[in-house]
Amino acid sequence: MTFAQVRRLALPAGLAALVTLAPAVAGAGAAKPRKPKPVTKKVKIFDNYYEPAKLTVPRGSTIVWQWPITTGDAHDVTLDKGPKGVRKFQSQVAASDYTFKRKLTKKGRYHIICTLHEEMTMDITVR
Amino acid sequence: MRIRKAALLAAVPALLVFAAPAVAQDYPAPGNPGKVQKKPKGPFKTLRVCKKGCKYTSIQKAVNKAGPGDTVKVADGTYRQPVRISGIKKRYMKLIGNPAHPERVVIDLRRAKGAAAQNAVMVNGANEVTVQGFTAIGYKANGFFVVNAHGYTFANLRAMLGGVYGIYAFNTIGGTMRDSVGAWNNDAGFYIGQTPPQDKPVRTIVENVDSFGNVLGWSGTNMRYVTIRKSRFYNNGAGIVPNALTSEKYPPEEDNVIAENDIFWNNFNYYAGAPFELRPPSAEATPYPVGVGVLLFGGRRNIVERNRIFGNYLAGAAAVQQFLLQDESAKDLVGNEVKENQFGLNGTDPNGRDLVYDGNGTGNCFGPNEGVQTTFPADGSTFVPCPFGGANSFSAAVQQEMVNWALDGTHTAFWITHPHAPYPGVTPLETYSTYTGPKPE
Repeated sequence: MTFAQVRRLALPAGLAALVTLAPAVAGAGAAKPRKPKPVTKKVKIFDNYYEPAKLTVPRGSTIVWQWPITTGDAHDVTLDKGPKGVRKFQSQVAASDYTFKRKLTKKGRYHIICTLHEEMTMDITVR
Repeated sequence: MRIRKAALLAAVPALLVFAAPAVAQDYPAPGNPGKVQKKPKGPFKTLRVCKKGCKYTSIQKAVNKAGPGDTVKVADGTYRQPVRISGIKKRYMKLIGNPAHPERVVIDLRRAKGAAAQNAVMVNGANEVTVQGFTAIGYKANGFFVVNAHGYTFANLRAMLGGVYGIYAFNTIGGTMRDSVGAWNNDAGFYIGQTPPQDKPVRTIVENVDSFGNVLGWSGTNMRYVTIRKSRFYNNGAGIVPNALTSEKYPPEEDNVIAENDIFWNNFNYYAGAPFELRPPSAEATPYPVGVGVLLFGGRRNIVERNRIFGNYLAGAAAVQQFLLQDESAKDLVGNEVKENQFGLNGTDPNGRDLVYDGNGTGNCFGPNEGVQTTFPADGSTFVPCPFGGANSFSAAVQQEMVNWALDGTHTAFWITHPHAPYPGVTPLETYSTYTGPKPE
Protein backbone atom coordinates (compact mmCIF):
# COMPACT_ATOMS: atom_id res chain seq x y z
CA MET A 1 0.00 0.00 0.00
CA THR A 2 1.15 3.44 -0.73
CA PHE A 3 0.80 6.56 1.34
CA ALA A 4 -1.56 8.22 -1.06
CA GLN A 5 -3.34 7.06 -4.09
CA VAL A 6 -4.97 9.78 -6.04
CA ARG A 7 -8.21 8.80 -7.62
CA ARG A 8 -7.74 9.04 -11.28
CA LEU A 9 -10.24 11.10 -13.15
CA ALA A 10 -12.40 9.06 -15.41
CA LEU A 11 -11.80 9.73 -19.01
CA PRO A 12 -14.51 11.65 -20.75
CA ALA A 13 -16.78 9.27 -22.50
CA GLY A 14 -15.78 10.75 -25.80
CA LEU A 15 -12.23 9.65 -25.30
CA ALA A 16 -13.21 6.09 -24.75
CA ALA A 17 -12.84 3.98 -27.79
CA LEU A 18 -16.18 4.34 -29.34
CA VAL A 19 -17.16 2.19 -32.21
CA THR A 20 -18.65 4.10 -35.05
CA LEU A 21 -21.63 2.47 -36.52
CA ALA A 22 -21.54 2.16 -40.26
CA PRO A 23 -23.62 4.94 -41.74
CA ALA A 24 -26.72 3.99 -43.61
CA VAL A 25 -26.63 4.71 -47.28
CA ALA A 26 -29.08 7.41 -48.21
CA GLY A 27 -31.55 7.10 -50.98
CA ALA A 28 -34.21 4.76 -52.23
CA GLY A 29 -33.36 1.13 -52.25
CA ALA A 30 -30.53 1.54 -49.80
CA ALA A 31 -29.31 -1.59 -48.11
CA LYS A 32 -29.91 -2.23 -44.42
CA PRO A 33 -27.32 -0.68 -42.12
CA ARG A 34 -24.48 -3.07 -41.78
CA LYS A 35 -23.99 -4.70 -38.46
CA PRO A 36 -20.86 -3.46 -36.79
CA LYS A 37 -18.21 -6.10 -36.69
CA PRO A 38 -16.90 -7.38 -33.37
CA VAL A 39 -13.63 -5.86 -32.34
CA THR A 40 -10.86 -6.58 -29.87
CA LYS A 41 -10.23 -3.86 -27.32
CA LYS A 42 -7.38 -3.67 -24.86
CA VAL A 43 -7.75 -2.33 -21.34
CA LYS A 44 -4.64 -1.52 -19.37
CA ILE A 45 -4.43 -2.08 -15.63
CA PHE A 46 -2.72 0.39 -13.37
CA ASP A 47 -2.69 1.18 -9.64
CA ASN A 48 -5.67 1.61 -9.10
CA TYR A 49 -7.59 2.10 -12.30
CA TYR A 50 -8.49 0.58 -15.61
CA GLU A 51 -7.70 2.50 -18.74
CA PRO A 52 -10.00 3.22 -20.45
CA ALA A 53 -12.62 3.27 -17.74
CA LYS A 54 -15.46 3.25 -20.26
CA LEU A 55 -15.85 1.33 -23.46
CA THR A 56 -18.56 0.83 -26.02
CA VAL A 57 -18.21 -2.12 -28.37
CA PRO A 58 -20.33 -4.15 -30.77
CA ARG A 59 -21.77 -7.44 -29.61
CA GLY A 60 -19.33 -10.30 -29.89
CA SER A 61 -16.31 -8.15 -29.16
CA THR A 62 -13.41 -9.36 -27.08
CA ILE A 63 -11.94 -7.34 -24.23
CA VAL A 64 -8.35 -8.03 -23.27
CA TRP A 65 -7.19 -6.73 -19.91
CA GLN A 66 -3.46 -6.30 -19.76
CA TRP A 67 -1.43 -6.09 -16.58
CA PRO A 68 1.79 -4.10 -16.72
CA ILE A 69 5.07 -5.76 -17.46
CA THR A 70 6.51 -4.14 -14.35
CA THR A 71 5.10 -5.12 -11.01
CA GLY A 72 2.35 -3.01 -9.53
CA ASP A 73 -0.16 -3.82 -6.87
CA ALA A 74 -2.23 -6.97 -7.23
CA HIS A 75 -5.53 -6.51 -9.06
CA ASP A 76 -8.23 -8.58 -10.63
CA VAL A 77 -11.00 -8.16 -13.18
CA THR A 78 -14.42 -9.22 -11.97
CA LEU A 79 -17.83 -8.88 -13.56
CA ASP A 80 -19.87 -7.27 -10.82
CA LYS A 81 -23.07 -6.70 -12.79
CA GLY A 82 -23.91 -7.64 -16.34
CA PRO A 83 -26.83 -8.26 -18.67
CA LYS A 84 -29.28 -10.94 -17.63
CA GLY A 85 -28.02 -14.41 -18.29
CA VAL A 86 -24.35 -13.55 -18.48
CA ARG A 87 -22.22 -15.78 -16.32
CA LYS A 88 -20.07 -13.85 -13.90
CA PHE A 89 -16.35 -14.02 -14.43
CA GLN A 90 -13.23 -13.23 -12.49
CA SER A 91 -9.63 -13.11 -13.54
CA GLN A 92 -6.69 -14.26 -11.55
CA VAL A 93 -5.44 -11.85 -8.89
CA ALA A 94 -2.29 -10.68 -10.64
CA ALA A 95 0.43 -8.08 -10.39
CA SER A 96 2.22 -8.27 -13.73
CA ASP A 97 2.93 -10.36 -16.79
CA TYR A 98 -0.65 -11.45 -17.23
CA THR A 99 -3.60 -10.90 -19.52
CA PHE A 100 -7.23 -11.90 -19.22
CA LYS A 101 -9.83 -11.82 -21.94
CA ARG A 102 -13.54 -12.23 -22.31
CA LYS A 103 -15.83 -12.24 -25.31
CA LEU A 104 -18.98 -10.27 -24.61
CA THR A 105 -21.87 -11.76 -26.51
CA LYS A 106 -24.91 -10.13 -24.91
CA LYS A 107 -25.99 -6.56 -25.33
CA GLY A 108 -26.06 -4.38 -22.26
CA ARG A 109 -23.87 -2.83 -19.61
CA TYR A 110 -21.06 -4.71 -17.94
CA HIS A 111 -19.81 -3.25 -14.67
CA ILE A 112 -16.28 -4.43 -13.93
CA ILE A 113 -14.57 -4.13 -10.56
CA CYS A 114 -11.30 -5.00 -8.90
CA THR A 115 -12.36 -6.89 -5.80
CA LEU A 116 -9.25 -5.73 -3.98
CA HIS A 117 -9.67 -2.03 -4.64
CA GLU A 118 -13.12 -0.57 -4.27
CA GLU A 119 -12.36 2.56 -6.26
CA MET A 120 -11.20 0.59 -9.29
CA THR A 121 -14.11 0.11 -11.68
CA MET A 122 -14.99 0.31 -15.34
CA ASP A 123 -18.06 0.02 -17.54
CA ILE A 124 -18.46 -1.62 -20.90
CA THR A 125 -21.50 -1.06 -23.05
CA VAL A 126 -22.18 -3.73 -25.62
CA ARG A 127 -24.46 -2.61 -28.47
CA MET B 1 5.99 7.65 0.10
CA ARG B 2 3.83 9.52 -2.27
CA ILE B 3 1.84 12.61 -1.62
CA ARG B 4 -0.92 13.96 -3.76
CA LYS B 5 0.63 16.00 -6.50
CA ALA B 6 -0.76 19.10 -8.02
CA ALA B 7 -1.10 17.68 -11.48
CA LEU B 8 -1.22 14.21 -12.80
CA LEU B 9 1.68 13.39 -14.98
CA ALA B 10 1.39 11.34 -18.04
CA ALA B 11 2.07 7.97 -16.56
CA VAL B 12 1.35 5.66 -19.39
CA PRO B 13 4.50 3.76 -20.23
CA ALA B 14 5.66 4.34 -23.72
CA LEU B 15 6.17 0.67 -24.32
CA LEU B 16 4.34 -2.24 -22.92
CA VAL B 17 5.10 -5.82 -23.65
CA PHE B 18 2.34 -8.25 -23.03
CA ALA B 19 2.33 -11.92 -22.30
CA ALA B 20 0.18 -14.25 -24.30
CA PRO B 21 -3.39 -14.25 -23.06
CA ALA B 22 -4.00 -16.85 -20.43
CA VAL B 23 -6.92 -19.20 -20.47
CA ALA B 24 -9.78 -17.60 -18.61
CA GLN B 25 -10.53 -19.05 -15.22
CA ASP B 26 -13.67 -18.87 -13.17
CA TYR B 27 -13.64 -18.49 -9.43
CA PRO B 28 -16.38 -18.26 -6.84
CA ALA B 29 -18.01 -14.88 -6.99
CA PRO B 30 -16.19 -12.51 -4.67
CA GLY B 31 -17.99 -10.81 -1.88
CA ASN B 32 -18.23 -10.60 1.83
CA PRO B 33 -17.00 -13.66 3.67
CA GLY B 34 -20.68 -14.51 4.20
CA LYS B 35 -21.97 -16.94 6.76
CA VAL B 36 -19.73 -19.29 8.64
CA GLN B 37 -19.54 -22.51 6.70
CA LYS B 38 -20.60 -25.66 8.49
CA LYS B 39 -17.79 -27.72 9.92
CA PRO B 40 -17.56 -31.01 8.04
CA LYS B 41 -18.11 -34.22 9.98
CA GLY B 42 -15.89 -36.59 8.09
CA PRO B 43 -14.66 -39.19 7.71
CA PHE B 44 -11.63 -37.41 6.38
CA LYS B 45 -8.94 -38.68 4.10
CA THR B 46 -5.31 -37.80 3.53
CA LEU B 47 -4.00 -37.38 0.03
CA ARG B 48 -0.27 -37.59 -0.43
CA VAL B 49 1.81 -35.64 -2.90
CA CYS B 50 5.44 -36.27 -3.69
CA LYS B 51 7.82 -36.10 -6.61
CA LYS B 52 7.84 -39.86 -7.19
CA GLY B 53 5.96 -42.87 -5.92
CA CYS B 54 2.78 -41.20 -4.68
CA LYS B 55 -0.66 -41.11 -6.17
CA TYR B 56 -0.21 -37.40 -6.82
CA THR B 57 2.79 -35.51 -8.12
CA SER B 58 0.80 -32.30 -8.49
CA ILE B 59 -0.38 -30.45 -5.38
CA GLN B 60 -3.26 -28.93 -7.30
CA LYS B 61 -4.56 -32.28 -8.49
CA ALA B 62 -4.62 -33.55 -4.93
CA VAL B 63 -6.38 -30.39 -3.78
CA ASN B 64 -8.94 -30.84 -6.51
CA LYS B 65 -9.71 -34.32 -5.23
CA ALA B 66 -9.82 -33.31 -1.57
CA GLY B 67 -13.12 -32.73 0.17
CA PRO B 68 -14.02 -30.58 3.16
CA GLY B 69 -11.73 -31.27 6.09
CA ASP B 70 -9.39 -33.51 4.15
CA THR B 71 -5.63 -33.23 4.39
CA VAL B 72 -3.22 -32.89 1.49
CA LYS B 73 0.22 -33.86 2.69
CA VAL B 74 3.09 -32.70 0.52
CA ALA B 75 6.50 -34.32 0.73
CA ASP B 76 9.77 -32.41 0.60
CA GLY B 77 10.62 -31.17 -2.86
CA THR B 78 10.28 -28.28 -5.26
CA TYR B 79 6.94 -27.80 -6.97
CA ARG B 80 6.63 -25.34 -9.82
CA GLN B 81 2.91 -24.80 -10.03
CA PRO B 82 0.64 -22.55 -7.98
CA VAL B 83 -2.07 -23.93 -5.74
CA ARG B 84 -5.66 -22.70 -5.57
CA ILE B 85 -8.11 -23.71 -2.87
CA SER B 86 -11.50 -22.31 -3.78
CA GLY B 87 -15.04 -22.57 -2.56
CA ILE B 88 -17.09 -24.11 0.20
CA LYS B 89 -16.18 -27.65 -0.84
CA LYS B 90 -12.64 -27.03 0.37
CA ARG B 91 -13.59 -25.66 3.80
CA TYR B 92 -11.46 -26.88 6.69
CA MET B 93 -8.97 -28.40 4.28
CA LYS B 94 -5.40 -28.77 5.45
CA LEU B 95 -2.49 -28.31 3.10
CA ILE B 96 0.53 -29.52 4.99
CA GLY B 97 4.14 -29.45 3.89
CA ASN B 98 6.98 -29.72 6.38
CA PRO B 99 6.20 -27.54 9.41
CA ALA B 100 9.57 -28.27 11.01
CA HIS B 101 11.47 -27.46 7.82
CA PRO B 102 9.36 -25.30 5.52
CA GLU B 103 12.44 -24.57 3.42
CA ARG B 104 12.26 -28.16 2.17
CA VAL B 105 8.83 -27.88 0.55
CA VAL B 106 9.12 -25.14 -2.00
CA ILE B 107 6.58 -23.69 -4.40
CA ASP B 108 8.90 -22.04 -6.88
CA LEU B 109 7.23 -19.86 -9.49
CA ARG B 110 10.34 -18.21 -10.88
CA ARG B 111 9.95 -20.00 -14.19
CA ALA B 112 6.18 -19.66 -14.34
CA LYS B 113 4.39 -17.34 -16.73
CA GLY B 114 1.10 -15.50 -16.80
CA ALA B 115 -1.61 -16.75 -14.45
CA ALA B 116 0.57 -19.49 -13.03
CA ALA B 117 3.16 -16.98 -11.87
CA GLN B 118 0.92 -14.83 -9.69
CA ASN B 119 0.01 -16.45 -6.34
CA ALA B 120 1.84 -19.41 -4.87
CA VAL B 121 -1.08 -20.50 -2.68
CA MET B 122 -4.44 -18.76 -2.88
CA VAL B 123 -7.47 -19.57 -0.74
CA ASN B 124 -10.74 -18.05 -1.91
CA GLY B 125 -14.10 -18.48 -0.25
CA ALA B 126 -13.14 -21.55 1.80
CA ASN B 127 -13.36 -21.20 5.57
CA GLU B 128 -10.84 -22.40 8.11
CA VAL B 129 -8.27 -23.69 5.66
CA THR B 130 -4.84 -24.47 7.08
CA VAL B 131 -1.68 -23.96 5.05
CA GLN B 132 1.42 -25.00 6.92
CA GLY B 133 5.05 -25.81 6.24
CA PHE B 134 5.85 -24.29 2.84
CA THR B 135 8.22 -21.85 1.20
CA ALA B 136 6.98 -19.72 -1.69
CA ILE B 137 9.43 -18.03 -3.99
CA GLY B 138 9.28 -16.14 -7.25
CA TYR B 139 5.58 -15.26 -7.19
CA LYS B 140 4.61 -12.06 -8.96
CA ALA B 141 1.63 -11.14 -6.78
CA ASN B 142 1.34 -12.90 -3.43
CA GLY B 143 3.01 -15.76 -1.63
CA PHE B 144 0.21 -17.08 0.59
CA PHE B 145 -3.10 -15.33 0.07
CA VAL B 146 -6.54 -15.83 1.61
CA VAL B 147 -9.60 -13.86 0.58
CA ASN B 148 -13.30 -13.94 1.45
CA ALA B 149 -13.05 -16.40 4.32
CA HIS B 150 -14.06 -16.88 7.93
CA GLY B 151 -10.94 -18.12 9.61
CA TYR B 152 -7.69 -19.53 8.31
CA THR B 153 -4.39 -20.72 9.67
CA PHE B 154 -1.17 -19.77 7.95
CA ALA B 155 1.71 -21.30 9.89
CA ASN B 156 5.36 -22.19 9.35
CA LEU B 157 5.44 -20.42 6.02
CA ARG B 158 8.19 -18.55 4.25
CA ALA B 159 7.22 -16.09 1.53
CA MET B 160 10.37 -14.93 -0.11
CA LEU B 161 11.30 -12.70 -2.95
CA GLY B 162 9.80 -10.83 -5.73
CA GLY B 163 6.10 -10.45 -5.19
CA VAL B 164 3.85 -7.75 -3.85
CA TYR B 165 2.81 -9.29 -0.54
CA GLY B 166 4.33 -12.26 1.22
CA ILE B 167 1.52 -13.45 3.48
CA TYR B 168 -1.78 -11.70 2.88
CA ALA B 169 -5.37 -11.87 4.12
CA PHE B 170 -8.02 -9.73 2.49
CA ASN B 171 -11.69 -9.34 3.34
CA THR B 172 -11.47 -12.06 5.94
CA ILE B 173 -12.94 -12.47 9.42
CA GLY B 174 -10.63 -13.95 12.02
CA GLY B 175 -7.60 -16.09 11.36
CA THR B 176 -4.09 -16.91 12.46
CA MET B 177 -0.68 -16.14 11.06
CA ARG B 178 2.16 -17.59 13.07
CA ASP B 179 5.72 -18.83 13.04
CA SER B 180 6.32 -17.48 9.55
CA VAL B 181 8.63 -15.27 7.53
CA GLY B 182 7.89 -12.64 4.88
CA ALA B 183 10.97 -11.27 3.15
CA TRP B 184 12.06 -9.35 0.08
CA ASN B 185 8.62 -8.32 -1.16
CA ASN B 186 8.11 -5.11 -3.03
CA ASP B 187 5.20 -4.02 -0.89
CA ALA B 188 4.79 -5.81 2.43
CA GLY B 189 6.02 -8.99 4.04
CA PHE B 190 2.65 -9.34 5.78
CA TYR B 191 -0.63 -7.66 5.02
CA ILE B 192 -4.14 -7.79 6.36
CA GLY B 193 -6.52 -5.54 4.47
CA GLN B 194 -10.19 -4.60 4.35
CA THR B 195 -11.45 -6.37 7.43
CA PRO B 196 -15.26 -6.10 7.49
CA PRO B 197 -16.61 -4.28 10.56
CA GLN B 198 -18.28 -6.74 12.94
CA ASP B 199 -20.82 -6.43 15.74
CA LYS B 200 -19.08 -9.23 17.61
CA PRO B 201 -15.50 -8.92 16.45
CA VAL B 202 -13.47 -12.02 15.79
CA ARG B 203 -9.82 -11.23 16.38
CA THR B 204 -7.03 -12.24 14.07
CA ILE B 205 -3.86 -13.33 15.84
CA VAL B 206 -0.41 -12.82 14.39
CA GLU B 207 2.39 -14.26 16.46
CA ASN B 208 6.06 -15.04 16.16
CA VAL B 209 6.58 -13.81 12.62
CA ASP B 210 9.68 -12.26 11.08
CA SER B 211 9.42 -9.63 8.40
CA PHE B 212 12.52 -8.15 6.81
CA GLY B 213 13.89 -6.82 3.55
CA ASN B 214 10.49 -5.57 2.39
CA VAL B 215 9.27 -2.12 1.48
CA LEU B 216 6.97 -2.48 4.50
CA GLY B 217 7.25 -5.06 7.21
CA TRP B 218 3.53 -4.94 7.82
CA SER B 219 0.81 -3.16 5.89
CA GLY B 220 -2.67 -2.91 7.33
CA THR B 221 -5.01 -0.96 5.11
CA ASN B 222 -8.39 -0.73 6.83
CA MET B 223 -7.59 -3.73 9.01
CA ARG B 224 -9.52 -4.45 12.19
CA TYR B 225 -9.36 -6.57 15.29
CA VAL B 226 -5.82 -7.76 14.58
CA THR B 227 -3.31 -8.50 17.32
CA ILE B 228 0.33 -8.57 16.22
CA ARG B 229 2.52 -9.80 19.00
CA LYS B 230 5.88 -11.30 19.87
CA SER B 231 7.22 -10.78 16.36
CA ARG B 232 10.10 -9.03 14.71
CA PHE B 233 10.01 -6.32 12.06
CA TYR B 234 13.43 -5.15 10.92
CA ASN B 235 15.44 -4.07 7.90
CA ASN B 236 12.33 -2.95 6.03
CA GLY B 237 11.72 0.46 4.52
CA ALA B 238 9.16 0.95 7.30
CA GLY B 239 8.21 -1.52 10.00
CA ILE B 240 4.48 -1.65 10.79
CA VAL B 241 2.06 0.66 9.02
CA PRO B 242 -1.62 0.37 9.91
CA ASN B 243 -3.29 2.77 7.50
CA ALA B 244 -6.56 4.07 6.12
CA LEU B 245 -7.06 4.31 2.39
CA THR B 246 -10.00 4.89 0.12
CA SER B 247 -8.71 2.27 -2.26
CA GLU B 248 -10.23 -0.46 -0.10
CA LYS B 249 -13.54 -0.74 1.73
CA TYR B 250 -14.18 0.13 5.34
CA PRO B 251 -11.65 2.82 6.26
CA PRO B 252 -10.06 3.46 8.64
CA GLU B 253 -8.09 0.76 10.42
CA GLU B 254 -9.42 0.15 13.91
CA ASP B 255 -9.08 -1.79 17.13
CA ASN B 256 -5.70 -3.35 16.45
CA VAL B 257 -3.10 -4.25 19.04
CA ILE B 258 0.63 -4.19 18.33
CA ALA B 259 2.33 -5.61 21.38
CA GLU B 260 5.60 -7.12 22.55
CA ASN B 261 7.32 -6.92 19.19
CA ASP B 262 10.85 -5.94 18.31
CA ILE B 263 10.62 -3.18 15.72
CA PHE B 264 14.06 -2.05 14.75
CA TRP B 265 16.45 -0.94 12.03
CA ASN B 266 13.73 -0.21 9.48
CA ASN B 267 16.06 1.83 7.32
CA PHE B 268 16.19 -0.20 4.13
CA ASN B 269 16.62 2.36 1.37
CA TYR B 270 15.35 0.07 -1.39
CA TYR B 271 15.49 2.96 -3.83
CA ALA B 272 19.25 2.50 -3.89
CA GLY B 273 18.93 -1.15 -4.87
CA ALA B 274 16.83 -4.17 -3.99
CA PRO B 275 16.55 -7.82 -4.97
CA PHE B 276 12.96 -7.26 -6.07
CA GLU B 277 11.55 -5.13 -8.82
CA LEU B 278 10.45 -1.74 -7.56
CA ARG B 279 7.11 -0.43 -8.59
CA PRO B 280 7.48 2.08 -11.36
CA PRO B 281 7.37 5.74 -10.40
CA SER B 282 3.84 7.03 -10.46
CA ALA B 283 2.30 10.45 -10.49
CA GLU B 284 -0.52 9.13 -8.36
CA ALA B 285 0.97 7.55 -5.31
CA THR B 286 3.90 7.91 -3.01
CA PRO B 287 5.36 5.20 -0.82
CA TYR B 288 5.81 5.67 2.89
CA PRO B 289 9.03 7.25 4.08
CA VAL B 290 12.02 5.08 4.80
CA GLY B 291 13.25 4.84 8.36
CA VAL B 292 10.06 4.50 10.44
CA GLY B 293 9.32 1.79 13.00
CA VAL B 294 5.56 2.14 13.48
CA LEU B 295 3.37 4.59 11.59
CA LEU B 296 -0.33 5.07 12.24
CA PHE B 297 -1.67 6.76 9.13
CA GLY B 298 -5.10 7.61 10.47
CA GLY B 299 -6.91 5.05 12.58
CA ARG B 300 -9.00 4.53 15.67
CA ARG B 301 -8.40 2.72 18.92
CA ASN B 302 -5.13 1.14 17.90
CA ILE B 303 -2.89 0.18 20.80
CA VAL B 304 0.88 0.10 20.45
CA GLU B 305 2.25 -1.24 23.68
CA ARG B 306 5.15 -3.10 25.26
CA ASN B 307 7.19 -3.14 22.08
CA ARG B 308 10.91 -2.59 21.83
CA ILE B 309 11.43 0.09 19.20
CA PHE B 310 14.97 1.08 18.33
CA GLY B 311 17.41 2.08 15.62
CA ASN B 312 14.83 3.50 13.17
CA TYR B 313 16.51 6.55 11.69
CA LEU B 314 13.48 8.72 10.91
CA ALA B 315 11.07 7.87 13.70
CA GLY B 316 10.40 5.11 16.19
CA ALA B 317 6.62 5.48 16.45
CA ALA B 318 4.66 8.09 14.55
CA ALA B 319 1.02 9.03 14.09
CA VAL B 320 -0.43 11.39 11.52
CA GLN B 321 -3.86 12.27 10.29
CA GLN B 322 -4.87 10.56 7.05
CA PHE B 323 -5.37 13.96 5.52
CA LEU B 324 -5.85 12.58 2.02
CA LEU B 325 -8.76 10.31 2.82
CA GLN B 326 -11.91 11.17 0.91
CA ASP B 327 -14.15 9.99 3.72
CA GLU B 328 -13.99 12.98 6.04
CA SER B 329 -15.43 11.00 8.92
CA ALA B 330 -12.58 8.50 8.88
CA LYS B 331 -9.47 10.62 8.43
CA ASP B 332 -8.82 11.65 12.03
CA LEU B 333 -6.85 9.77 14.64
CA VAL B 334 -9.15 8.75 17.48
CA GLY B 335 -8.38 6.97 20.71
CA ASN B 336 -5.01 5.53 19.76
CA GLU B 337 -2.59 4.66 22.54
CA VAL B 338 1.20 4.34 22.38
CA LYS B 339 2.30 3.25 25.80
CA GLU B 340 4.62 1.07 27.82
CA ASN B 341 7.03 0.72 24.93
CA GLN B 342 10.76 0.67 25.36
CA PHE B 343 12.54 3.05 23.01
CA GLY B 344 16.19 3.11 22.05
CA LEU B 345 17.28 -0.14 23.66
CA ASN B 346 18.33 1.45 26.93
CA GLY B 347 20.11 4.23 25.12
CA THR B 348 22.33 1.90 23.11
CA ASP B 349 20.41 2.11 19.82
CA PRO B 350 18.36 5.32 19.59
CA ASN B 351 15.73 6.11 17.03
CA GLY B 352 16.14 9.25 14.97
CA ARG B 353 13.11 10.55 16.84
CA ASP B 354 11.36 8.28 19.30
CA LEU B 355 7.87 9.72 19.01
CA VAL B 356 6.31 11.81 16.26
CA TYR B 357 2.71 13.07 16.25
CA ASP B 358 0.93 15.89 14.48
CA GLY B 359 -1.63 16.27 17.26
CA ASN B 360 -4.59 15.42 15.07
CA GLY B 361 -7.83 14.04 16.46
CA THR B 362 -9.14 13.18 19.89
CA GLY B 363 -8.26 10.82 22.68
CA ASN B 364 -4.83 9.92 21.38
CA CYS B 365 -2.22 9.43 24.06
CA PHE B 366 1.44 8.59 24.41
CA GLY B 367 2.99 7.10 27.47
CA PRO B 368 4.16 6.24 29.83
CA ASN B 369 6.97 4.88 27.66
CA GLU B 370 10.53 4.09 28.60
CA GLY B 371 13.66 5.53 27.02
CA VAL B 372 12.07 8.39 25.08
CA GLN B 373 14.86 10.83 24.36
CA THR B 374 13.58 12.80 21.40
CA THR B 375 10.17 13.72 20.11
CA PHE B 376 8.83 15.66 17.19
CA PRO B 377 7.75 18.31 17.89
CA ALA B 378 10.75 18.66 20.15
CA ASP B 379 8.78 20.55 22.80
CA GLY B 380 6.39 17.63 23.15
CA SER B 381 3.39 19.92 22.76
CA THR B 382 1.26 17.40 20.86
CA PHE B 383 1.77 14.58 23.33
CA VAL B 384 -0.38 13.76 26.33
CA PRO B 385 -0.02 10.68 28.54
CA CYS B 386 -2.55 7.88 28.68
CA PRO B 387 -5.35 7.67 29.49
CA PHE B 388 -6.72 10.69 27.69
CA GLY B 389 -10.17 11.45 26.40
CA GLY B 390 -10.08 15.02 25.18
CA ALA B 391 -9.19 16.84 22.02
CA ASN B 392 -5.55 16.71 21.01
CA SER B 393 -3.48 19.76 20.09
CA PHE B 394 -3.02 19.79 16.34
CA SER B 395 0.10 21.28 14.79
CA ALA B 396 -0.07 22.04 11.09
CA ALA B 397 3.66 22.69 11.09
CA VAL B 398 4.39 19.19 12.36
CA GLN B 399 2.11 17.63 9.78
CA GLN B 400 3.74 19.66 7.03
CA GLU B 401 7.15 18.51 8.14
CA MET B 402 6.01 14.90 7.99
CA VAL B 403 4.81 15.52 4.47
CA ASN B 404 8.24 16.89 3.69
CA TRP B 405 9.75 13.65 4.91
CA ALA B 406 7.53 11.79 2.54
CA LEU B 407 8.46 13.95 -0.39
CA ASP B 408 12.18 13.76 0.22
CA GLY B 409 13.67 12.51 -3.01
CA THR B 410 16.82 11.28 -1.31
CA HIS B 411 14.79 9.23 1.21
CA THR B 412 17.50 9.80 3.80
CA ALA B 413 17.79 13.58 4.18
CA PHE B 414 15.80 13.69 7.40
CA TRP B 415 17.42 10.68 9.01
CA ILE B 416 19.19 11.03 12.30
CA THR B 417 21.59 8.13 12.36
CA HIS B 418 23.30 6.36 15.22
CA PRO B 419 25.43 3.25 15.52
CA HIS B 420 23.41 0.11 16.20
CA ALA B 421 23.79 -2.23 19.13
CA PRO B 422 24.23 -5.87 18.11
CA TYR B 423 21.09 -7.96 17.61
CA PRO B 424 21.60 -11.72 17.52
CA GLY B 425 21.41 -13.14 14.03
CA VAL B 426 20.58 -9.89 12.27
CA THR B 427 22.79 -7.63 10.16
CA PRO B 428 21.68 -4.05 9.53
CA LEU B 429 20.42 -3.36 6.02
CA GLU B 430 20.49 0.17 4.70
CA THR B 431 21.70 -0.25 1.14
CA TYR B 432 21.43 -3.62 -0.51
CA SER B 433 24.78 -3.44 -2.30
CA THR B 434 26.67 -3.09 0.97
CA TYR B 435 24.51 -5.48 2.96
CA THR B 436 26.57 -8.31 4.39
CA GLY B 437 23.71 -10.38 5.78
CA PRO B 438 22.15 -13.33 3.97
CA LYS B 439 20.73 -12.36 0.62
CA PRO B 440 17.94 -14.18 -1.21
CA GLU B 441 18.84 -16.93 -3.65
